[in-house]
Amino acid sequence: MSEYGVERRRVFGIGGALGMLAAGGLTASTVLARRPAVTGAELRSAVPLPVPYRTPLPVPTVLRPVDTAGGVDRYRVTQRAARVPILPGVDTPMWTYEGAFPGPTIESRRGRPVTVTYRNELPVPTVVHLHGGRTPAESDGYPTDLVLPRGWRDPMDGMRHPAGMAGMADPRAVVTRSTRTHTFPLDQRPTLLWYHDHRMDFTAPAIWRGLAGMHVVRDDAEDALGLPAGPRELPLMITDRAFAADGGLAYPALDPTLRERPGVPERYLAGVLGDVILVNGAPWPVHEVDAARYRLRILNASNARHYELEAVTDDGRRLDLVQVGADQGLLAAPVAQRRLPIAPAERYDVVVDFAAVPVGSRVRLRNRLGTGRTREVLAFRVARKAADRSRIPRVLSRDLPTWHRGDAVRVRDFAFRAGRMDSGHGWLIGGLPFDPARSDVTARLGDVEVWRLIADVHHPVHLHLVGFRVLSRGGRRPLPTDVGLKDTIALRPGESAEIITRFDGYRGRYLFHCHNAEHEDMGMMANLDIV
Amino acid sequence: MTTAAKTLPPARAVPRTGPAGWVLRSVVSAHVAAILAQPVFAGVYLSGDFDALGWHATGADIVTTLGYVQLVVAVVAWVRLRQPGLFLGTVALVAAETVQYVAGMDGALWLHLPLGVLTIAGLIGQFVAVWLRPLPRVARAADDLPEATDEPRTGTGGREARLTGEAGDE
Repeated sequence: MSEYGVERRRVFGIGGALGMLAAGGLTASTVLARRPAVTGAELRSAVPLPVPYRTPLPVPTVLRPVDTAGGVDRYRVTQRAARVPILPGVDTPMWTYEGAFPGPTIESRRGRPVTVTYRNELPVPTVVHLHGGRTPAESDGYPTDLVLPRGWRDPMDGMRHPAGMAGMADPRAVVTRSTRTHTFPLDQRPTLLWYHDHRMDFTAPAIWRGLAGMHVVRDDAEDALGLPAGPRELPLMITDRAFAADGGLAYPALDPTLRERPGVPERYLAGVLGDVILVNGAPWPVHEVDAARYRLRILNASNARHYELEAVTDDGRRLDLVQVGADQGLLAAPVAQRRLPIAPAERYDVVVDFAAVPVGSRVRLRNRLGTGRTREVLAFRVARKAADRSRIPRVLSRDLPTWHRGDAVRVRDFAFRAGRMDSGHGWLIGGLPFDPARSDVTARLGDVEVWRLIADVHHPVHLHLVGFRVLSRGGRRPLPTDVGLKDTIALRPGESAEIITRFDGYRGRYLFHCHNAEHEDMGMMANLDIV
Repeated sequence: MTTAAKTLPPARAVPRTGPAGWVLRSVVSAHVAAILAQPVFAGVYLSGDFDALGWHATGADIVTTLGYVQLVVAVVAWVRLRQPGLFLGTVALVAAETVQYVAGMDGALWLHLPLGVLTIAGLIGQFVAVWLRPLPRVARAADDLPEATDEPRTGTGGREARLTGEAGDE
């Protein structure tokens, strides 16, 4: 029997073939796709890796000011190469602040200015940015405000760019030799900040080599809350790294001297991931704790790796991670989270209660986005029963800004996506790669604006100077972990978000950018001029 | 319209099936038009136009709703015309569209993109099937024809099989 001369059997054949092709396509997608999605390529270490949860958790030393006269704390920090013991029995050559990784922690009080004089003894230019700091533009560490090392031939040597940014000089750059003093007024909500290198085109390898440290801001109101403190407050800087055969850090820089040619091979364009998870510079460490509440101040200082953290007991129970603070300080009220998705540069301030955990057993902080060893992060071994006078008040703060859509004088849209620079692939904001000499966004001091951000792959978007609140994500309600005041928002593939902020504080030239460090080095930054 | 003119007079002879065929064509056509807008909105969205996400979401609601409407119409076509091919094809499409909706909301793009392409391909196949030739007009009379008794078997093959089912009706 036929229809238009077509045999029924043939029609079945075509139908069957199409059905099989469809099934094959969906199966291929299921098998090949990264589920959950991961943006970046992982390096493999060439040294034997330690067994997780044997190395004790280090806590970075707190830096002592050299002078506290006149209501200002003055610090000196030297950026220098050092050999740091990271893996057991191996010294790893790194670039450090004060010879340590992470760099020393700076403890500060709200409204009490801090000055830090950075001395550059590294072989390349540097510039320090205090992430999350409400800092005047001249101290914000703009990527071209370089501190040149002694003997660096020409101020413009550090300013070569890939062809995509060819010949780009920045007339507004403030370049110094050897030292630079930053003034941080710290007139801002108490929170965990972090400082890191922000050199144009070379931020990713500089952070990878060790140029990162933490900075805490406190005030009396927060101290009075009764949150766990002292040894029961732990700053946790999570990073991923990979190690070469000689114990040095592996990183696929096109120019390993990091002097002239920026960037990484195409394979690593989406981001460099390591196969070793470090917390405060130790691989998969373990920390002995009392059966009591602990305040964990978690920072993801990885270049590109996202984590989704959960606290799991040995018998598989998940403990609540009671969030008390976000990137920019305390929430209005605590929020019990089960999982914390944390993108590069994001912070969470959480309280976890080990009281109900049997003495002698462990609680592991695990990463649901990892595979194999990158699923493991950190373990707590509950060592003893202990008295606990800490508490989590129902009201944590009353000073969170309450901006409404109606307050916004402007709505701006930005697409964060891959694209072509003049030659080669890069990452673009609104279709353009970074140009320090171009004005991208000009906002009036005091204006409230809504920004709508759209991503093609994972992009943790960070605004300098200001904190913002998340209005919506993917056209729907924000995630439970989007609460509070943030300065970095993690967009997942194809996702968008609306944020609202008020540009206050200081006038001057700032930045907003993707905090996937490889992306920001390959174009994904833009200027934010506050006038 | 010329096709319609040819189709309708016999439909008048068997009054209850003609309108069903037209409803079917209308629904499938609207469904195709709506679904073809979806990749357009997605592309505009990823180019940085935030509003297009809203259009894509509204489009998803419309497409999915039309899918369910088509399912009802296909049930009618099956009952009235003893023709399960279109119905089974529509069941597959509606299932795909439902998964597609959830995958989109969850951001599971590894599934959302290929499934979206396949759904559109399937729906275009149905569009061709309902417009290529006059729709089956009979029902009761066809029951007694040997071709009609073949249809439950041929119908399991999906929309391609439905083409042959229509051939039987003709």
